[in-house]
Amino acid sequence: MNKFKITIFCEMTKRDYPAEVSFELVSKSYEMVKNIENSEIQVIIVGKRINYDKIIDDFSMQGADKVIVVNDDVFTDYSPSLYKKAIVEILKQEKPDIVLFGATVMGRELAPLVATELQTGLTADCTDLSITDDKKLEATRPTFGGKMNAVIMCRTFPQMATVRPNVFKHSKEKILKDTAVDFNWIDVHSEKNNLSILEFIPFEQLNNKDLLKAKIVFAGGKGLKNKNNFAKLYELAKLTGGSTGASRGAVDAGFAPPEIQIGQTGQSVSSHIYIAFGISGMAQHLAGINSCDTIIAVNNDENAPIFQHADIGIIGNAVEIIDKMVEKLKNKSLEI
Amino acid sequence: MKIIVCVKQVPDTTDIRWTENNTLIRDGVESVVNPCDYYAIESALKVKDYNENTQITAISMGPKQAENALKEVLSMGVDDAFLLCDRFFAGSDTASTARVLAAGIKEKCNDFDIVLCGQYASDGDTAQTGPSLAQNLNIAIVTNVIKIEKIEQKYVVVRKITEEGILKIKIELPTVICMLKNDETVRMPKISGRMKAQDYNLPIYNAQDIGFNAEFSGFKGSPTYVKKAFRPQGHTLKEFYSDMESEQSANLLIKKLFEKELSNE
Repeated sequence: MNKFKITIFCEMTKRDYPAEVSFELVSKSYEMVKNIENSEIQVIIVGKRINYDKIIDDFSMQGADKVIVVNDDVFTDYSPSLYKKAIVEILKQEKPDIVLFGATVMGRELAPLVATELQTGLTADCTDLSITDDKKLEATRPTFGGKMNAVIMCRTFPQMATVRPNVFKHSKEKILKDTAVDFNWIDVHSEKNNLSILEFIPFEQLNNKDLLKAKIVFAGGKGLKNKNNFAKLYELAKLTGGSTGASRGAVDAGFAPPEIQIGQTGQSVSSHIYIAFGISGMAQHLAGINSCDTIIAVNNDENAPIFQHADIGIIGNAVEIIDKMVEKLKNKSLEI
Repeated sequence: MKIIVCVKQVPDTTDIRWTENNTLIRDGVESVVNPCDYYAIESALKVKDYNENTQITAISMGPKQAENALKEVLSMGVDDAFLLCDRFFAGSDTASTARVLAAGIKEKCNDFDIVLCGQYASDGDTAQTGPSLAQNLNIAIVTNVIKIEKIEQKYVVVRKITEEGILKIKIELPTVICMLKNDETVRMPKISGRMKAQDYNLPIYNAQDIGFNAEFSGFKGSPTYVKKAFRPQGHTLKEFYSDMESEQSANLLIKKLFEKELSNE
């Protein structure tokens, strides 16, 4: 019997370390293949010459059976055509049943190139995955701006999907597999690299990563009216050990930087408590907060759609309430 | 400079309602031009503002009524447009949509420098058709673009936004560029533009017209299919306070924060 294989593309960040979603996908795959005999979870890393020991250990702890490293200086910067070529060649050799990418900016660009070249199907931006009894991939994704979920199947092989970051958790138990490492050399010289990076302007290391992991998130929308008011949320976050997020409206209006945008085109958060100040609750935004435990909405418009998606609703002046909260937390003058 | 812009007609997602059986009510839902696509159109028109010798062609795959979306962008200043319409295209997923668009471009557009797409469509939001189209045309691709900064004979320079920052990228032509919404103001159609669009005799091509084997499109020709659709289990309002002073609201919120923190420790 052939091995049942899941291959995960590992996206390397500028820190020369995998994006979190790569580990989340390995961990989820490990859970999915638990009852499948003779299975293998593979990770493909495309990159330049760096020290992979720690990275391989970390994948091993999430349950990876094999790490395939494609190492060459031509992969120093991400190039869609060269990366696609390397991944396609590996997939042709390995013939996996399922291929997963993180639904990141890179993953959402690269996965369709790979799928198109392999003439197979790809489901975008999934929020859940499962494997049926006959070992087919069921990929669930939000559609119509998060108003509907669709379960998508793929008729062709490999069955491919991109998966939204932060919907699956790292495994807490350390699995520590005896992970095989396979250094591979792929000749990509036949493929033209048609772009070059002239400049990279990094976002300030604000709290993007903290945001994904935060237990408390204070998010602000256009209802906060200006950048100064929005900045009060940073203070709230500091006082409570929480993080700050923003709606698309607040980012577009220049109140907040794009890296803290929450929603379908931004980050997904899964905090214990999520407080939305002055956010109307467009479907785009709601798609990014669905997995929070408790959603509290503060808005002066009782017809704001956010109230239909919140557990607790408060009608009021968001800015005034933030001011009072900051004041009380500073003075610890709480009457409850 | 020849620019092709891909346009999708989508249901107005701000206007989606449910039946009691949790199916979508589609009747009476208005169709609009996909919001991101306006920014792709605007970027193309900006190029034409600076270089009159620019030819912009808008294309769409969809039902006959998608004509309206193309007429809308024609009225904004797009030079030409055509619709790819065939009952065999219905139900196409992103892979087969990209195949149809590529076949239409290869057959009906002699040469081109740039294919502009909206980054994602407001209904499906897969963001896959643009890259898949680039692969089918075997040309370069850059997605998540917020600005086209410079256009030369052989290359363009764009700004792309990622999770980690903003990249300035030089990319060889021809290329597909997927545009995000950005802070540019999308121009309104002029009355003269509306009149021109009204008189425009919009070509509609079927599979045969573009030499496309319809077996590779539609429900049957798509590699993926929807097994089922359901309404997400969302949050429901359990507590609602409509007439509290800000003071009380602040107290309540802080109390909730502490409760939640204690219960999760």
